Amino acid sequence: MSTDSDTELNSAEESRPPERPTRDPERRIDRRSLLRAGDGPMVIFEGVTKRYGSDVLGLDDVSVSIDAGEFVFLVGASGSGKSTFIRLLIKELDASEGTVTVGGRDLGKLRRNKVPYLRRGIGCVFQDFKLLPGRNIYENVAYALEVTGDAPRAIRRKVPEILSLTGLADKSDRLPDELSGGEQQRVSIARAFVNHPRLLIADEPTGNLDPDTSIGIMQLLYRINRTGTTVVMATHDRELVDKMQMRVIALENGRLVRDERKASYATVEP
Amino acid sequence: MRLSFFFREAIRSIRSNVAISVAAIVTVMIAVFILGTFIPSYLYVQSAVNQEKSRLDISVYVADAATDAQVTSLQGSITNLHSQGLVKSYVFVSKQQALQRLKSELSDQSILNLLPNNPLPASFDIIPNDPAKDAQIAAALRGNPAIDTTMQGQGINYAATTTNRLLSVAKFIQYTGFVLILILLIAAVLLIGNTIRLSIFARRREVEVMRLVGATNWFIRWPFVIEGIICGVIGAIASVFALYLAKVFIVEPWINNNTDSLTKSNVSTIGFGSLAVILILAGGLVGAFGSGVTLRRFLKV
Ligand SMILES: Nc1ncnc2c1ncn2[C@@H]1O[C@H](COP(=O)(O)OP(=O)(O)OP(=O)(O)O)[C@@H](O)[C@H]1O
Ligand SMILES: [Mg+2]
Repeated sequence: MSTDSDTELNSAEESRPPERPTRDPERRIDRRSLLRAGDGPMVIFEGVTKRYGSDVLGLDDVSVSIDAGEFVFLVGASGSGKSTFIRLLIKELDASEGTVTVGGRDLGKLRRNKVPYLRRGIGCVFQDFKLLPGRNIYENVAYALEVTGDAPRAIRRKVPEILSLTGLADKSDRLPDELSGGEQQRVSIARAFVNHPRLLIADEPTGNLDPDTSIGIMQLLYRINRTGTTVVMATHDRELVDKMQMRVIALENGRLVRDERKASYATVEP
Repeated sequence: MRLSFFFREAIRSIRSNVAISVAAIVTVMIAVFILGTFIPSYLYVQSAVNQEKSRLDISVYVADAATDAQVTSLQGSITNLHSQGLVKSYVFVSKQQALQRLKSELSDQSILNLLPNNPLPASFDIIPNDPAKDAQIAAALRGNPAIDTTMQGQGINYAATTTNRLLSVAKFIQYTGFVLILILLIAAVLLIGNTIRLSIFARRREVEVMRLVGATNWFIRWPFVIEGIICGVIGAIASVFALYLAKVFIVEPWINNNTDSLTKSNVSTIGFGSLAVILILAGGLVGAFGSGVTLRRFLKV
């Protein structure tokens, strides 16, 4: 039947040298995540170019490395390539040139049918929340666990836990459209984090929210980062970036134009 | 085992587009209903054909003028066919016995007294092993001088025409029924497929989200497949129910009114229980197939 019915985990995965070909991938795969634990960088872009069609450049020769546990803002004007960067991380797109490595995995070499296992190790948060409309908050969060084949008992334990962590404990029976935008975004963060991914990516998570609500969401993401999760957040929100003083990677027309630690949204012109 | 989860997902999906699901269920119901009337009718005709076939024999009429030697040689040919396995058994019916047999079949025997002499020929009555090979047996015997070629069928009478007519009726039912059922099943598969397509379309945003949180293709597909199977099985169960009503209120009263023609025969057909099982399986298969085909087209990796 479904490949999901087999929930066997394989810990040998971690110690295996990366070059070794996967002979029987289905058996070796950790069904929760493909990301390898280890001290190496969480994300490495090496000369990554993404072309849409033959002429449109999404990203242009970007090389960057993000360590495990970092919090990174991805900034730039509209059309600068932030979403392209994010989508390459979850292999929604493939690089036209160069290599994208996430958690020690060269995504260019990752087979299509392994992509779900990659994504289980990466929490995703989007501007439009991407909640499942017909399901209540509890079910929305539980879905991310159902997907990994978690036992019902584990699901019943983990969901309320994460809902109270994100301040949604009393909302678990509500449908997404019965919540405010900020609350919906909390749900999507809860869903992204319920598997305790080692990498969390957020594409303009505060784009639809007012400044006060945005700060709440930002604090939540920061707390998640403090648990050791690497967070990559694309944003337009100058105030937020300035306030946080985290690493900033700036893109312009697909090119990396700035990469600074403890930085603001824009370079302060002297 | 994720089966209960997939089931809940499928039910959720059916409930969210009831109208379309009902349309698919009704199509399956109609197709399965026709399948359900066809199977027993076909088996009935087939069984009737077999029974008719087993009744058919070949009469080889012996000329009055035939010499003993000629008769013996004819018998030799028949024995030969017997040893070749074409002939199951045969008997010699003398002129006297033939007259006797006729007498027993007639209610008014006085007519026979009017005959100046016995007009009936002697004959070999042959029961073939396979009635379809009547003609072959006839051909093998033809030309033997003992045969009275003035008689019906040039001395060898076999019910080739009757057999053939029955066989062609059976074939007709078989082919038209087969084509009809094929068309209906295809229609049912397509309608189930359409239901699933609309269901996928209605949930395409959901499917996108499922992919984002790391659902494998089959994790996304199973609920749709189960949705198709549920529609198929519900349609089949509904038509089994309709067939049962038809059996109790239409077919059985009719049989009871026509008892004399039927009770004597050994013509048989399928039991209702087995028919129900077959139909429900067919419904489930149609559902699985319909959703499978659609998933291949509309829910690619
Ligand atoms: N699917 C696509 N097909 C063709 N061109 C695309 C596609 N997606 C993005 N692009 C182009 O690639 C460039 C980078 O787009 P991207 O979405 O990464 O920008 P962004 O920084 O996320 O912008 P925004 O802040 O508006 O979300 C743009 O010029 C855009 O028009
Ligand atoms: Mg974008």
